[in-house]
Amino acid sequence: MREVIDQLVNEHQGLKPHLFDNDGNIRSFVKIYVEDDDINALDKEQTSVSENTIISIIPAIAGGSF
Amino acid sequence: MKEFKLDIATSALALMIEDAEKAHPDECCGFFFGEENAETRLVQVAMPITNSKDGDKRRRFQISPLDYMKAERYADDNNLSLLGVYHSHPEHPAQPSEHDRSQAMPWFSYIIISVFAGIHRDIHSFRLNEDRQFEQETILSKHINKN
Repeated sequence: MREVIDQLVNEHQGLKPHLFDNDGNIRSFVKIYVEDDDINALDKEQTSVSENTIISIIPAIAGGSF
Repeated sequence: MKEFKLDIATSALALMIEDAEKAHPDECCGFFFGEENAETRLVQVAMPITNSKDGDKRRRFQISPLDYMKAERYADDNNLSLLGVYHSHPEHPAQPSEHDRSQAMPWFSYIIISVFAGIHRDIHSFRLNEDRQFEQETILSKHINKN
């Protein structure tokens, strides 16, 4: 899965600061799903994917009054 | 700067208000859907979502990634656009906090509903500009604010 994300970022450099921190780690508020499964419940960045796998990159939605 | 406008269907607005008042004293949250033209976003559907915040829900909301994914799929399945996020401010003005601003994403409209003693008071909407500062949108709906 990480290879796929890296390829995506290589092709679309503008995504890099939104997905990765300065150490090259995926930002904590960005969740990555393989189909309906959070990769943290699978093999994390080593999760296997195939040509037809749907990968969803989901930022956190949050806020509050003060 | 272009003026952003939001036209909210009566049924969608009623659902957001109901959600805000029912959730009080906690913050409610949800998505809204519709379409947009060159001048206006037409809000047709509101979708209340569980506040997934682990902690003080009276001043914080959080939407789970899975719920966000499902909302995007709902939009695709119904040929709608996911236009933004609504949430309530219990005992607090309908103005975005710094926390709201820091967590906001570009393009989305953010509707905020203030609720005092269980009754909604004001409803305002905001969108981030290019400097990541909120600018208020004009809501083209009747009987929005009580003040």
